[in-house]
Amino acid sequence: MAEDSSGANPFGPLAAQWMDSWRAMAGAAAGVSENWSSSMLPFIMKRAAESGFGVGPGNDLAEAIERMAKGPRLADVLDFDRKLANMTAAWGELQSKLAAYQLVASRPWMRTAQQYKMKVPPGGESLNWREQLGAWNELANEELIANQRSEEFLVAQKQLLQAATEFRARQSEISDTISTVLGVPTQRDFDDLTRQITELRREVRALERRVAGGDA
Amino acid sequence: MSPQSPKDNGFVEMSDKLLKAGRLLSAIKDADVDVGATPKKLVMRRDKVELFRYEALTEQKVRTPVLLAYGLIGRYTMADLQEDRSLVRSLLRQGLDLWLVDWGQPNRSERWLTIDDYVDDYIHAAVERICRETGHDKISLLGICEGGVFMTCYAALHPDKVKGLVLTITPIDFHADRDDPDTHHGFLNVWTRSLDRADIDRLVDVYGGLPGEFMSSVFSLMTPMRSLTKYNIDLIDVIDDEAKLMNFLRMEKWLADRPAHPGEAAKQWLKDLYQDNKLVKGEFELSGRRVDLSKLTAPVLNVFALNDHIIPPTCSRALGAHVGTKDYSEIELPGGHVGLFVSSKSQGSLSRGISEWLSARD
Repeated sequence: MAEDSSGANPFGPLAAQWMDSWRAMAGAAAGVSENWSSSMLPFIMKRAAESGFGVGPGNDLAEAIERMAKGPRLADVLDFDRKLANMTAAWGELQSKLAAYQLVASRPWMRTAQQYKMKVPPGGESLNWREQLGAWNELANEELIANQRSEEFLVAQKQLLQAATEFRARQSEISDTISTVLGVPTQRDFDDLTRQITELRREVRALERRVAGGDA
Repeated sequence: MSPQSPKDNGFVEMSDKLLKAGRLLSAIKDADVDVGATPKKLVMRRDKVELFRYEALTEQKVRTPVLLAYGLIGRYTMADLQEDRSLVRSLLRQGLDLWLVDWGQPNRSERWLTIDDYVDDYIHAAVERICRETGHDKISLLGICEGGVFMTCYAALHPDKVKGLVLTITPIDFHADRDDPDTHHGFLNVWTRSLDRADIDRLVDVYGGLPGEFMSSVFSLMTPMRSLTKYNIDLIDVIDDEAKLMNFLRMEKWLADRPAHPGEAAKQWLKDLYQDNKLVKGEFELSGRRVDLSKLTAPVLNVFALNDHIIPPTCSRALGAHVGTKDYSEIELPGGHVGLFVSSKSQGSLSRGISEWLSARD
């Protein structure tokens, strides 16, 4: 999928150059600043990396879902073969839904490339690169927005979300199992506790209001 | 179609600027990028929720205190991004006694909190405290986005406590995006309706809330190319201008500060409101009481942005047909959801519109 979209993207070489530039920038900055960790650079670098340095196929939702699903990596701590089977199946399903989503998400890029060819014919090379990029962005924006509202996109992202949530739930089962083995509270224990605290707080406050003659 | 070679001068210049950006960013400390910096004093803390009173910047001209509330998606700092782009500062300069309820940083610990808790406990406690501190028996409410929905519910359920209600970019009819012909508007409505109810429950149950990162990605989808060009084109465009660079960084800081939306409240927000549109149907219940918009008897000012892609103006404007007061006004401003608060163009009209309206009803 990624190959499809980058193949349709005439800015592929520029994109690669961007990545190199970002890396060079990070390297140079790290060399000159011993205060790296307290500066704004790692903050912006992290946010830029999350967005694929602005050269990804625009699959923010897919990437965010994947990152969320991969959150806890406790499954790597111990080799729970049998217990991992369910999670592995869920992972496979997630990858399948991710591929389906990316297929749908990549289509507007191909349509953009076609439209761009019509709008900026070979003679358009007289435009500077900013003008060319501007024309490309305008077309791509319209195509991406139109695609997002399509039934096909909405179904694909919903199925991806379902698969990611299922995978995360399977991961939580494993982390709960590990917690139980180690004798530490599980996620479920924590949720039970916070629920009790929340309910207790409500009761105390309702009582306070009643005592104070408030209207709650 | 063949973009210019990376060796072209324009591209080399951009690469140089990017390196310059790296050097500059590594020299700017996190503490230098201050948001929400207008001085304020902590008056009350209730769980993670804090009530602040802003320090006056001029002589008080509107006697009735005003309580500001943002939603649970993002933070209030959008209304106080920087000194020259701050709704908070503008209102203070016009003599308002401004208070803020800050929801803090909810996480899985707040998973069981509902909108009922936010409206009938936190906001109610804040209003009572302000009344005690100032000697008023009613105050004015100023809500932003989801915070506007909370304030609307509060005003309908506790009309005796509300002197005036000011809403900004607040959704009331969550299905009115269908009446907005602009296809750039209302993706959030379309997306939420596309989800199964069980998906929302499962998402919240598994993650213990609505992850802030997830909502950020949904928002990024709404302006796809702007999101993709932010850290390359946009960044280098501002790198030679220190003021613009700091604006950029403050906005980034605000965008990155997106706590998880408390779980049970997220279910109400997405299912009861976005999917079932219960508020405008008069079916939304909090603490066992129906939120009846016709009980909004206090004067209402409804401000919305004409190019708001997150809350389509049609969703906000719908309130007018449901309120129980005849003193209902609207201000429609150019700009978008965030631009309304941070753009230098809208700053004056927004704060002036609000303060003049409040002053006339003080």
